Amino acid sequence: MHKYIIRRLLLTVVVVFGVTLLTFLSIHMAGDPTIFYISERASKEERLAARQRLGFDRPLHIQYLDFVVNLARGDTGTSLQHRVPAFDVVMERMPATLELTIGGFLLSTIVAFPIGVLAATRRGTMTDGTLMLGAMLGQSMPSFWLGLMFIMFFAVTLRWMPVSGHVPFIKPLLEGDAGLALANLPEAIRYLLMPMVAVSVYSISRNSRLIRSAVLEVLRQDYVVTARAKGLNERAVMMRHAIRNALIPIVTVLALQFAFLLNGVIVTETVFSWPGVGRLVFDAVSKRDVPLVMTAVVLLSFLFVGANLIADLMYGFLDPRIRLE
Amino acid sequence: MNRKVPFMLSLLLIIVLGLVPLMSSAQTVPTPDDDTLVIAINGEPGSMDPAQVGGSTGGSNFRIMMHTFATLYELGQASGAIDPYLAHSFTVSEDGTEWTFHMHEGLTCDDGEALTAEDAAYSFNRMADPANGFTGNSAGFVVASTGFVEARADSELDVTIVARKPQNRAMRLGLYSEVLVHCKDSYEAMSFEEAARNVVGSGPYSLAEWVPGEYMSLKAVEGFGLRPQGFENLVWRFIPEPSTAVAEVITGNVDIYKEFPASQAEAIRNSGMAEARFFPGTTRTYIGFNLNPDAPFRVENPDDVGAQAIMRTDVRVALQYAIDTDAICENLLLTTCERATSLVNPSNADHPTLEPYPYDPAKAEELLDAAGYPRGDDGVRFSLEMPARRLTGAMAPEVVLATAQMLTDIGVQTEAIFQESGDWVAALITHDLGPLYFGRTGGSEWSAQYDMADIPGHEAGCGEAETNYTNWDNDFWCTGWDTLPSLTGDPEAERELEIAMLEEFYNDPPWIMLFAGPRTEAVSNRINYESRADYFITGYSATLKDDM
Repeated sequence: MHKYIIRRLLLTVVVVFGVTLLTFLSIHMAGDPTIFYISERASKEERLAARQRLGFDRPLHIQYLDFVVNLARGDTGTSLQHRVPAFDVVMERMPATLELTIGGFLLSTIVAFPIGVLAATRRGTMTDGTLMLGAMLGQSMPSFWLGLMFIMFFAVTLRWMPVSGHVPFIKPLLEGDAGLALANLPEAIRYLLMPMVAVSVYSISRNSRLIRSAVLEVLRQDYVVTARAKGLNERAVMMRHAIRNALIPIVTVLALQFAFLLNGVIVTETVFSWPGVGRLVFDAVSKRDVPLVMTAVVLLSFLFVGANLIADLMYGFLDPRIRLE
Repeated sequence: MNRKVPFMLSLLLIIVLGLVPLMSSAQTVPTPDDDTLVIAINGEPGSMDPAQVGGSTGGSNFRIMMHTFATLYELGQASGAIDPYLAHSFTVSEDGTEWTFHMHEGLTCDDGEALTAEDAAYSFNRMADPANGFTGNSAGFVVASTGFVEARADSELDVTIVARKPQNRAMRLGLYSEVLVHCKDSYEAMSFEEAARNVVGSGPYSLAEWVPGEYMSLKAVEGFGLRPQGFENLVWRFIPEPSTAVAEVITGNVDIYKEFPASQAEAIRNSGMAEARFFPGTTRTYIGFNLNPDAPFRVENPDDVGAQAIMRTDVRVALQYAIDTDAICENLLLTTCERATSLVNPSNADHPTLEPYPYDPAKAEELLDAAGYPRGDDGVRFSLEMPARRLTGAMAPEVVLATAQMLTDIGVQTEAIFQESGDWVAALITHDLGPLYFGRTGGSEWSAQYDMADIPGHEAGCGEAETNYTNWDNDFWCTGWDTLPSLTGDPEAERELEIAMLEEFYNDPPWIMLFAGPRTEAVSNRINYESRADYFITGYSATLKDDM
């Protein structure tokens, strides 16, 4: 197990290396970032001087190697827009993104599970048809549109929910102020609710369809038939035999879903003025803030790979026959 | 397993109850009240360093910093006014290169440090020093446009700013009014990183709280007598999505929101919470003709008829008649707007007698026929691409598409291509955008030359000058621009030359002139607030209505 984890962690380095390389190349392929950090009245000489000062005059491979070497030292550079360390800028937004992603992940898992299982056990019935139609609709609705509709209905028309904004929960916790986190909790949930639902509707729809398929697959297995033949009631058959065995493909998908949610928050963060990394990166890309984009990509890659690693480790708990070597 | 669940729940309950005594009061998103004005803006500040204003690194910081920092003079609320601020008056040397500002006594910065001429000189020199690497409006635009050399303190209250040559008075005063004054000792003690996040201001409000990505809260500075402070607290909320900002206005959570989409005016009015205002703005909206002979679209495809056709003056004049700006304004921007005759705003000192090109598609077609570009069998004379950005207001996609369709209607098949903002700006700055591009550029109400400065003279490279995005290389204009400084002592001659230059722009147009603005602004019914035609929002001037 330990060897496996170490191997995966080493692979993480390779993945992060690959992701940063691709990001670095694509951001530079869009043109010279220098022009965003000089006056539009700058002369050609001033432009060249700024290019030199910002280090963009060096060959691309040197710039990239420099980044990697500095990254290994824990230095991700200074944000060109914010003029403070890029790592600090990303980290002060990370808690808000995690709140939204974890919230969306939990919601999509908790809601998708019963829907998927119910649809599988009632296969071919009106319930199954209705649930799957709902899932299809959920997958068809873009999250930004859904977000705006939520705002129009729940915030503007009914006035039940706040339009936009954020009350922190994870950030005070990380800063060691549990009292403040707890005091913030009710408002934090109120502000989180609409963006969380908007970001998770697609995942709920997709997951419920996958869970339905996985459970249906297991229900066809001999051991389920045997369990029923033994006279076990349906609840016991489902809980002890069907769902547990269906969990492995589901966990794999859920881990990927977490990463998918991380990507999806960019739009949702914009619609709900959520102060997360997605919005930050979107803005940084449009202003070619290379250090900030690279730092965010590195941190998000670690999260992505971490989620997959957790999923792999869970296989062993779910099915003792699987040994991670 | 079943026995563990109640145990875990009990443990959780104990932990929660144990934390109750530690609970502090909860944080909230600031909302308007009798002491608090809330303003929504789409961008958010990157740095709050007063020398780093606007541009990519600044984002929306200029609007906020106009409240935390004062200037020697200030672009006033009233149209075209430039009002005294930290300085009560100024004198100009005989040769027009040295401007001495006489400052008020007893000024201080937020930290109590005395604010004197030495601080004002430091502010100018700090932002202009290339070693500091500042960019944006002050370090880039003001320094280059005024020919800034240095600033020096002549006495405790007199600061002199030296430029390479004289310049139109209104223009120079307006530009100097965009430099934020800050205290030397406070900023010398800070690193650039610290200055980006900490504010030691000189204006009517000080920074109380900055929650990155969410809002910035300012508090009125006690005893600041140079400007009103209608509310004790000013909160700037960063709301990137315009529809969301409008929803906040409708629900009474935001008092002022500039540049809402015109289509949402009715929703704002119907809410009963706010006024939806439309007024002419200073931002000039236009279609640029890229005349750069080395632009990639011209070099890579030398046989492109459209790209070659727009190099001709008669073709560019013909296209002026193709755009129905009245229809665009009334139907898409839901207001009326005045078509410009040149790059100077109609509300500024534009040409006194020229009439805007009328909408006359038949004449446009006639002129194109005469220019040797008849319609082909497919009805097309030539084709052009028109890169644009997806913005709101006068730059909204529907406006871009409408202009493209109007050009297509006269046989100039125009394809609007919507680009990511960064790509669009990058190509614009390098004069590679086009052949047509849909653009806008900031303007003023206080100096024709400020608006004309986009296209400078031979000394700045004329066609190749950085802000001359169309690469328009007109000798009369460029020579005229270089001559203007020598006429500052003779305002009549100066104005005469300005008018002649504007006429040249009209007759040999590098733009299809559209309109200035229009701007929109949602203003809460609970406040008194006068909208500004320019980019700024002077929250300090807003007051609570008596009956509220």
